Amino acid sequence: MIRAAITGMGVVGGFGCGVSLLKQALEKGRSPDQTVRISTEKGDITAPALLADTAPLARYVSRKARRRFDHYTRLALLGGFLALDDAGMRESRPGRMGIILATGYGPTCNTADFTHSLTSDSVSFGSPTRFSNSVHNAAAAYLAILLREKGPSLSVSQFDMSVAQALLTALIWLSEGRVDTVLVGGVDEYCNVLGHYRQTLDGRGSAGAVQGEPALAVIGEGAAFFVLSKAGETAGTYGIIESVSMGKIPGRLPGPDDGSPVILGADGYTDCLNRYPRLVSISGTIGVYTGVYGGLPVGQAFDMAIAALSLTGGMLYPSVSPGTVFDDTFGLPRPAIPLKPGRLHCLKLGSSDDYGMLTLSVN
Amino acid sequence: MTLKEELKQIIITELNLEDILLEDIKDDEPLFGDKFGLDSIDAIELVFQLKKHFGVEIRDMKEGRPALESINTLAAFIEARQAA
Repeated sequence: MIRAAITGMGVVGGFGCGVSLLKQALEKGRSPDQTVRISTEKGDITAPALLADTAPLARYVSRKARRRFDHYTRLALLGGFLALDDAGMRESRPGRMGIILATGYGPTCNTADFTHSLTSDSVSFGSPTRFSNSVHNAAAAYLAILLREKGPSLSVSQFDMSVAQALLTALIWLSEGRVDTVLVGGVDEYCNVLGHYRQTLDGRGSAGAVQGEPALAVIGEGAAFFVLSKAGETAGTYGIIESVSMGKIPGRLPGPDDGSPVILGADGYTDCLNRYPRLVSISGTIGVYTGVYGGLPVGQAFDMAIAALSLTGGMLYPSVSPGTVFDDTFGLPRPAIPLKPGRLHCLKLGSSDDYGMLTLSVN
Repeated sequence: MTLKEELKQIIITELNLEDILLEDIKDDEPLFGDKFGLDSIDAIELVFQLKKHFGVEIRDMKEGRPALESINTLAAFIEARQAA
């Protein structure tokens, strides 16, 4: 399979906006504390959350142009513009560019509002603005429109596996020569409906790592985008994507056999403390960083950003997991550890024993 | 809040007019044009919001064009329909 050079990165999340604030949060071992209020049958509760501020989008998109964009689209646009800026490709791009957006939930706030209005308002039709923002490819299409890009534009929704699927598609597009560059990223937003869903899972013990324990997953939202080009033709500022593999776990997944470190997308959902050790054999050092960006289906995009920063910085950042039970279970290293030039893997297990693995290397 | 103030608030909130205050919208000035940057999608959104908030329906362009001209014409349209 073709290898892709990562020439730009754009990230926004609970840690802040931009690669430097992600680095800062990794070095500090935490993101700024935030909470959300969630309505439950027993009254409102407060839960820890890592939410993203999209105000910096004003740098890239005029007030008039961003007026109709919902929070989800703003996250996608900000992540995309930051990545292109980082790659020096915001104003002009050589060749043809494709856009691929991965998402687990899509524009949930807008879509929940829209469907709620259809079922509860005394109006026989819905808000046209909310409708247009609820269609599947809206955010990717807005990116293409604002960038005046006429290449392929695609949204991928395969829950936990969305990021791996999007990256696999990006590599295929580059391999086919369909495009010269791909802007690919993951986006998910938090909304009250998801907060309620998390509490329902928590009540059943499903959102916690251990039955009956409180949820370990920290609510997260954000966007992480990458600019990819064919490796060999372009040097990767943030290294190279060597491969992307996906599939069903055949009983037990043989982990990477090269002894390289593995970043796990263990975010506190889907009983991950039991599932990762049970399903995967890993010989290398393990890192978990979901405590920096939170639990969200496209978390693997943030893991890839952290892997790229680790590889190019020559050290594996101290793990930032959602709880000390993760540190004990996985034997997570606390101090940063030097990395030998080589590879780094990002592994995400899906909710039905499927997996997505990314392998990155330095140039 | 008067009907005209309520209309202005709906326009600001539902059409996401960031940084626009109630007093920035004059009762008799055109709603559609350069000042607020409203367009045909906003017109449809306003038709939806009128139905939702006031139970008033704009059935076609013939009714909509004069009604959506300004805050004054919108308020007059709503009052006429509600009185009928």
